[in-house]
Amino acid sequence: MSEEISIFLFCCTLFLLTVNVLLAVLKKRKINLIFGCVTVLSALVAVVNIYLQSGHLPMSGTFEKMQNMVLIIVLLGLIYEFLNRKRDIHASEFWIIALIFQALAFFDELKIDPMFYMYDNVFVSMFFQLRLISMAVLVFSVSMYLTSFKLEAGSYEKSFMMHHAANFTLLGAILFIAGEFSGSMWAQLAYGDSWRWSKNFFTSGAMFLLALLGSHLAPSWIKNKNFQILFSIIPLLIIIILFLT
Amino acid sequence: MKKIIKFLSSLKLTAILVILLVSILLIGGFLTRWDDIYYGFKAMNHLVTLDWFLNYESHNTAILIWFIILCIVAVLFGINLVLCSFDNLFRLALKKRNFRTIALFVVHIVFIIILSMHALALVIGYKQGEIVLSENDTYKLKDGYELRLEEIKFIDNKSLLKGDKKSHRLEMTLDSFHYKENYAELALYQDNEEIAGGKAYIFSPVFGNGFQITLDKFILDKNTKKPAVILTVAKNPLTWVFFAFYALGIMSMLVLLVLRWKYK
Repeated sequence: MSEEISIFLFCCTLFLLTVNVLLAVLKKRKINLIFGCVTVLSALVAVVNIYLQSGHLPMSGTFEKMQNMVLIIVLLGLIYEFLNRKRDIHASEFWIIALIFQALAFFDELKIDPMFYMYDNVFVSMFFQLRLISMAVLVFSVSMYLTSFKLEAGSYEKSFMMHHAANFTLLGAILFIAGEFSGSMWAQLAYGDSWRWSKNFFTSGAMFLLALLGSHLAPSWIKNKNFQILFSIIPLLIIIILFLT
Repeated sequence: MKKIIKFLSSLKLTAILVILLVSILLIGGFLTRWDDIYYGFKAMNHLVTLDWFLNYESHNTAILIWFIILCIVAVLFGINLVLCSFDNLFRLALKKRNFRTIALFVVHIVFIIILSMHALALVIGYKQGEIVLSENDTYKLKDGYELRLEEIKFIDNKSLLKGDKKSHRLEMTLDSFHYKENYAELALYQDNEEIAGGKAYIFSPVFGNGFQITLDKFILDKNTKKPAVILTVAKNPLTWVFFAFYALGIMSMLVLLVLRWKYK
């Protein structure tokens, strides 16, 4: 029964996101803003359901990860859309990306991990949660870059959107490193050292460096804004791929 | 000389070095697909990295080459970070004198300190991992230290300790494995004098005299069929200072984000 509830909630969010994408494509901004609240609610109920069923917040299973990430992406998107509702920016990309992430869960089993003993530890829990949130923020940042890509060259809106996309990249990096801090505490207490020579630590190090790469590309080399966007998106895409694989 | 410093402090070099470091780290991760390299990396965790490096006989050639390249690029990255911070960011902070440029400089300084501590942790301190002990066993460590396991309390089903790594992990739920109740009672001696001791639990090591004795995991002793433990003994004076700067680094980044949020 509990598994059926999870699948039902998953399908609800999937359906609502599909409607959001359609409304965004049709540029029905106001209706989408209201309808988006229902999607956020559905995604929130799905995450709460994971907690109620397993006793832990979404952690490492694909199904859990996607549910949590979708919630954060649509929540950020909705807030951002609401705050900038008077600007001439039609940000539809985050709806499309959220739909893709929701659909990605199909490629794995639609199941929730049991309460492993490790999840009871606050540092383990924080590590997984902060990592998930940081990835969602970075995905949102990609969607903002994609939105700015289509805006008119030299326009105020384009620079405005790019600036905020860079801010969200930095926010993602901060959340990611906060997760790593928690992971280091976990490693210190569980293995006697704050880090280890292992594949997971190499990947984490690479992900953090990639998150900072975009902000360290000298603006003087790349004059064209669209190329700047492209060079900011590539490291983020690599991070997301590393996280998902 | 000026030209060299200009190049070493440039953002171009930063981008190149970051890309190189990312590639090296990902290659390192990829190499773990081979068993001998996977176990080679695992063995690096049993000692302080300098001790591992000086222990020539046990090295895997691929890991050694990878490690040397990583060190060279990391040192160059460190030089670039220091020079860029002082040659560009410090000057910028002095010139503009606003909170944003000062915060940017502070973030970089804190990261220089964190990286330096990482580098120092590779060469100082004491570490001996993968110590397998059963009840009443003693393990002789270097420098006259001796670790004694006095008691193991394991209240759960011992079959949990069998099986391969994956099934082992999947079966260890909070209901089946009571990690707050299972423990190993330990004592660390130096020249027959106890310097640290107590009950070590999973996630709750024993601390004493600067030492940390960590209970990595419970295993099943193949001979006696009784639970045994894998332990790590470590001493690193920088650990908690490192964590303090780590937290400071995160906070300084957060301040920078707040200061740069608004688009002007």
